[in-house]
Amino acid sequence: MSRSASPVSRPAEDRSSEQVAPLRRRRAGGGSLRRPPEVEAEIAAVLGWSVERIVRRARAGDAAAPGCLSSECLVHLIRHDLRGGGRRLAERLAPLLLARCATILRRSLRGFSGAAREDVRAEILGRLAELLVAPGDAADFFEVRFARAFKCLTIDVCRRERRHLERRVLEADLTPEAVGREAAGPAARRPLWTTAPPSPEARLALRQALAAMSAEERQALVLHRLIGMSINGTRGGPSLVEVLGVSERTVRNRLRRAEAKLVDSGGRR
Amino acid sequence: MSDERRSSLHAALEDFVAAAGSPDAATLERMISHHPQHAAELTDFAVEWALQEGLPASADAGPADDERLIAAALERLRARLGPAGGRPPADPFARRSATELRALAHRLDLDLSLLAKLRHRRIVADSVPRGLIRALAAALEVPLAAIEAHLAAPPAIASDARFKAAQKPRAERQETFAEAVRRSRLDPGTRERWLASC
Repeated sequence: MSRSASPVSRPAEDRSSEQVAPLRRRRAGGGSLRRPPEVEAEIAAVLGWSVERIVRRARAGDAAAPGCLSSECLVHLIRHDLRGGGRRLAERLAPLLLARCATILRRSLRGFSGAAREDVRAEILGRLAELLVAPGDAADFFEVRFARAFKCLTIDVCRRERRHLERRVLEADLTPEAVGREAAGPAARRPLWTTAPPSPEARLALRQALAAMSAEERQALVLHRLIGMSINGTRGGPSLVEVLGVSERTVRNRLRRAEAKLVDSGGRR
Repeated sequence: MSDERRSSLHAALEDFVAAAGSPDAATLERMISHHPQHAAELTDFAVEWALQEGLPASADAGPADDERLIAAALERLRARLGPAGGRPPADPFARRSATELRALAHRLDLDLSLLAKLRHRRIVADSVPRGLIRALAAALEVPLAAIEAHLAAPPAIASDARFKAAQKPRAERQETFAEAVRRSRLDPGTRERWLASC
């Protein structure tokens, strides 16, 4: 047992600055993902701390508060603990990280209402919890840019949930009486679109229009009107024809039908 | 969807979000050229992204439901981890002689009383620096989880307390690692270094 070989028999200032394992996820452009230097420094500084001290610093307000451990750091500590065969730190930090995320979702989730919104929030938090435990590099991006990684997860879950709801939405009873019943009682579980325009009538109209569109019509409308993609590439960028893999005529037909449904419902924006 | 495809899609979507602050046609095209096998999902993702950016926020449900959602997410996390060890942990110090324990204490910058308190779980587990727990695991050549489980178990009753006692022996009150360091015979420099880690 040589003293010099000890991982802790170093000066105190070095004791907490342990080696931070590099990430393994490859980037699209080549090379591996790398944490920002400030995240690396933060992780290196806290790796040797006690669970109590880490938890205290993780609790100190939200991630943006001064002195509070960043979410990137919390993700690393949880994964590091689990990879090392531990659980104690992970079990203390995971609820704190999830609580931060639940708060973010309360502010940022869009386009879902009532029970559907709660289902989506539950699925996002559940998927995040599973990613933290997943072996391999699945959660590497969360150690680099947590906000973006979480946004990606949120959008992906929303996308899947919306696709799942489409079938049910098209079959849903969207009469004003039915919508009124939904608004009156939290027990109602019919998933509907939420846009929150100024008046309840306009809200209902837009919901009806979106619900009445097919997935292809809504996709074409959003790509064209919100993302600004051209129909046939005449603006020089990618076109709906290329991206959707259908003819220009089909694209125009889908757009025409979608816009007609918006106009019919008075929901044109 | 196979695990491999799911993982590759996950990476493609993260590339997309990393490359742009908001969805735009040029980035979508670039991502599709990088990940042609996921063209449909990337397009679908761009549509949802635009909806998330473009729609007004949903009404806030309030924090009341957060606890339920967090508890459900933690259930999923624990389900993936599997059950925590059911059997009482074996003593990782058990087969060490007194000489070895003295050498171990020296190597870890502890004194024998501190090491004994750790061994007999007289120290609150969560107050022990993680660096020391890892060093203990490495020095004793046992998994980190074995040290964690040992420290987290109820305090041991000192073996000499079992005999000639008028009352049923009870474990001593646990102290924090910082308190134990302050009561130790470590030299002031080492004591300060440990306190800085607590």
